[in-house]
Amino acid sequence: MKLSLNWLKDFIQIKETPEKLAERFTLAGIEVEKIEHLGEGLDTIIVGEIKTIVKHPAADKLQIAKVHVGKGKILSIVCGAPNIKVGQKVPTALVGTKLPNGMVIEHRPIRGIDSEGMLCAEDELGLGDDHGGIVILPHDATVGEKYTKAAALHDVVFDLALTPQRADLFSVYGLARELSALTGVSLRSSSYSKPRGDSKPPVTVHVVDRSLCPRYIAKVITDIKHTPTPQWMKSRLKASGVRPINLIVDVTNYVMIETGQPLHAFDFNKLSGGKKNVSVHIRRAGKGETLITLDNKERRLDGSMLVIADSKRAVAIAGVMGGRDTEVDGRTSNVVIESAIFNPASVRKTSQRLGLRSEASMRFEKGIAWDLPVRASERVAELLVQVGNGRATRITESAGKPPKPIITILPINDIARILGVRISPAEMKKSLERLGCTVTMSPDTLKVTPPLWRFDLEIGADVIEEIGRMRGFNSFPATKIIVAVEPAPINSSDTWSEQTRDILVGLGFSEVLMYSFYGTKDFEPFGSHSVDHYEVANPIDSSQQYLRTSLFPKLIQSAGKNFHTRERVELFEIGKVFHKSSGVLPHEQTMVAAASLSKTQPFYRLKGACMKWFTALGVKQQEVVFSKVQKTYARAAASIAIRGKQVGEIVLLNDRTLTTCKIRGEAAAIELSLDECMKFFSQRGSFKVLTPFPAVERDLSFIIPHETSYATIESLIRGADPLIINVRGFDRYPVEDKKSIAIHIVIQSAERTLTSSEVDAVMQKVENILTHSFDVTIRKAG
Amino acid sequence: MIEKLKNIVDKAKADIGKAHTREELLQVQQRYLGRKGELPILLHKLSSLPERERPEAGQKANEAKQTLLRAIEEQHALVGEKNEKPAEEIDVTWPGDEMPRGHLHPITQFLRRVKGIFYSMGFEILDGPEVELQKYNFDLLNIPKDHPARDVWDTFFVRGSKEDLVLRTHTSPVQVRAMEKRKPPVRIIVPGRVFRHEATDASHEAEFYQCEGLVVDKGIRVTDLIGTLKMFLQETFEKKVRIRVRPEFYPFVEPGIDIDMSCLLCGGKGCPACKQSGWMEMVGSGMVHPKVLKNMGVDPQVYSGFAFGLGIDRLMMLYYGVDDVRLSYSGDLRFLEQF
Repeated sequence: MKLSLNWLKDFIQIKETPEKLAERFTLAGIEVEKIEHLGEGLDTIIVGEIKTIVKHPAADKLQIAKVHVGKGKILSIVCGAPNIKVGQKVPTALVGTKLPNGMVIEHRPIRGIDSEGMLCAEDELGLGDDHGGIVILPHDATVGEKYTKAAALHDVVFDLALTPQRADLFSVYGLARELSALTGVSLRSSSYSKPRGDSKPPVTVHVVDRSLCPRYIAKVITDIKHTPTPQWMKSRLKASGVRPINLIVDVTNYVMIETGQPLHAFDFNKLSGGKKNVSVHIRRAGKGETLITLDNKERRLDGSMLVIADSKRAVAIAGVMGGRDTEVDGRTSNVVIESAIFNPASVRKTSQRLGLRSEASMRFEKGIAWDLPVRASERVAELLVQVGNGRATRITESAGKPPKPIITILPINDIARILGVRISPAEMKKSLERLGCTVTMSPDTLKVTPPLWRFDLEIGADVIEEIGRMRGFNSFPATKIIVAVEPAPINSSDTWSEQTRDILVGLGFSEVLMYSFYGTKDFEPFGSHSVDHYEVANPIDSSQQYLRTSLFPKLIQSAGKNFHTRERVELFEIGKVFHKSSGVLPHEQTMVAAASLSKTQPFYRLKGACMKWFTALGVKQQEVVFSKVQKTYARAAASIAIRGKQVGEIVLLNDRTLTTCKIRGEAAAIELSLDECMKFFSQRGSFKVLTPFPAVERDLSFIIPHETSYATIESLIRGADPLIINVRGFDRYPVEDKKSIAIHIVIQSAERTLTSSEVDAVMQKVENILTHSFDVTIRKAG
Repeated sequence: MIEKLKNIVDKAKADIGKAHTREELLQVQQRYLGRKGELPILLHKLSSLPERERPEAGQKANEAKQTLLRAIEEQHALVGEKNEKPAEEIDVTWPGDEMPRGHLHPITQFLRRVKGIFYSMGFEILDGPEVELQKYNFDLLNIPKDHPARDVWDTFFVRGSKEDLVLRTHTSPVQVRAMEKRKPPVRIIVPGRVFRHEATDASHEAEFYQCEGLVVDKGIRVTDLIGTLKMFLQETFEKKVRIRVRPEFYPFVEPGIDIDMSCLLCGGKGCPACKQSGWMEMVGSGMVHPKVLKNMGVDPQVYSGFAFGLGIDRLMMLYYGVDDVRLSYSGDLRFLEQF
């Protein structure tokens, strides 16, 4: 909410600077986000009176005005606006003025005629966007006076971030009242509740559903003159961020901002029976009932919505928006002013369903104090009588029982127990009384009755907060929690995640964080379907419509983007995916995925990184099995299992997918369930006694049919002799329709140094077992 | 014996003379002086000599060994001089090889700081679901349906289940979930991803990271909250910080408190980063609302507690001086490799 300092001063004396005041508000929980100084730099704009006007000799559309700017000084000003007349008072910018749009007024000839200043339109003054003509000031404006003073322009505006529970602060008066409580400076007396007008009102009010409308007040004001809204009121409305429209609408807005009570004005004559007597009904909308609202849209209503109706039709949606047909316009002179309390939840539901949020609905949602409707309608009457010469009638009211105040009984000890500072009972009582509470004290307890406007004070904790707030939390000391020293339990899944990150970073992979959302275009290339996904009901756009079931798409895309400028890109992400589940919540799994992009195919590189990661966390090489699977998007793919439990997959993307992902190179990617993998991780390495006898290393190369997998060969070789302690393929290339494979074999005994004939015998066993099992040609043994 | 010794020495000297590389010299040394070398094998036979011959033979053998070692050393010097590569072949200013090194995301690095600080203060690190029931995200946290307080959180709703699912708007639901299995005293933090339905710009993201904290025990006070968070900020930013404490409204705490820190960039004088106020909003917090304590199964008459929420992205950005939150989720290596 925007708060005008001038307006605030109507209700309370303020001596502090705006900055000090802002700090006071902020420290009391009313955060000031911005301070604006209005009218700054406009002090050389003077009220001038047009004495004569003559045509410009060289330009049809220009005129030359002689303008009296006080003390007998007359300026000659060239002006292009058509609306000026002799005798008008106008804002006149003197030479040297810098306008809010940056323009500097100079003494210079315009088409050959000297101009000694400028007459200003609204937009040039920074007051609005109207450039239709020069601003015409009231006849009684004083020539030579600063325009900022004549138009009440100088003001300080505080932009406040108000919190939703403090309904009482959404008004100038409410903020003055709060300031009074904070400072102890008393409020200036206000004349709000003074009834105005005693003639019998030509309106009756019938509330059909009391639970949705606890109080409804109608006040009829007649014979309002069609005068423009006074400048001071317009300035205050603009300072508060409200655009002036016409006197009646402006007055209702003005009173809403001042008091916090949303108001609506119906054109009395447009209501059914509006010639003599109007009956207002507050009821639920009928099925299929429609209403064209002020914004010219036809609204479909239903039985959950509350409407205001005359004897024939709905004329407003209660608390949300009025109807077009009974709108106040420039010719309206008789109005019914509505000032009511509606059920907050009902207004909220209706405005949400219709997609209509307004200053009014926002205030109704938060709640209206019981006494406010009467005070606000009398204030409207006061202003319309004063400014518009209208005639007020008595209010017509339909009301249920006023709500009972919520009385809190609070143990005094609780206050220090929660706040941690000592506050004397006398200070507590004084603080609460300043806030308008009634306080009764006993030796152990406080009995607190909140004022009508503070329905947020419901329980002891609310009262404790007020006591702390009045003292000032910022003055509280910082203390340390007193607890027994105990080790915090270790979160092992967090630990494994962090270790995984360290290992992958050590292997050269960089960590990215991608969105949890994606769209069909992202996952369809990876053979996934929308039915497998949870859908966001209100996505930001269709590219973020689903919750990811795999980290692949976004990870590979982002690797692809980086690949444009690099030889090799290796990225990983640890994040959650969301799988369909039969339970209430999705099956969320923490995944780790990595991608490797390079000019040559990076499948084995990525597999190697995966094995380094596994072994670093205690999974043994032989416990991991890669089994070939088919994927529509991959040239090669394997599922990965640890001790028989499937934990993820690795893929080498095919050309089609690479093209879709705009990757000019080769890409391999791996995705593993960290939740599953970590079941096999262990922190503690196991120690084997070092053997003093040397290991002998031999290489063996042979030609073998293509379809024979390395895994089969390795397990055969390992099984050939117990002295073989390690086997690893290190070279492979195609030879006609077969392949040549070279394997490194490590042979060692834990008991003695092996002789070369013993080693030869082992190698012979290997050759034998290979030639027995496959169609193999041994090329070289060494 | 002595004859044999002489033969070995002569043979060895000849071999040493023929060795032209360090490698060859090492082989010669191995052959004659190694564990199974000719000289040690001969020495082994000393014990079979008659007693009176032993001292002389021993002395001679020792002399032979010394002679050979000297010869090797001399030859070594000779070989070395000949074979040493010229020193100027290494340009020490030439760039070293490009070694692979990955980078941890700055969010990860910053979260590690946060976790480390709280872990050292005895906080347990917890995790919770990112898709949440409205019950946990709102209702049990004293944010009733059809209450304007819900507007504070722009919420993503999730289809595909009978229940009212949302993407959690904050990490606070884990407070209640954690307390289903715990009894006071409790000290936990919950780092994790949260979701808000808002347009993204340099300071807003629809997805970002938060870290929730919760302390419940007997005698936990507002001043403890202030002290703990001040300590956290000082440890995080490695300096004495000035803080400002002001009331704020969050439905799940009462009193609700915001902690501001004196602006890191201008030191409190006022600059664009702190909107000229000299202060930066750092932590939202408060004393756990009695209704929420009850929802956790904790008696508010006996226990009290505080909760807080840290905006990790914002803190990380301040810590490193990053000016656009969207960079975090861009996957751009030019950004990531700076950390």
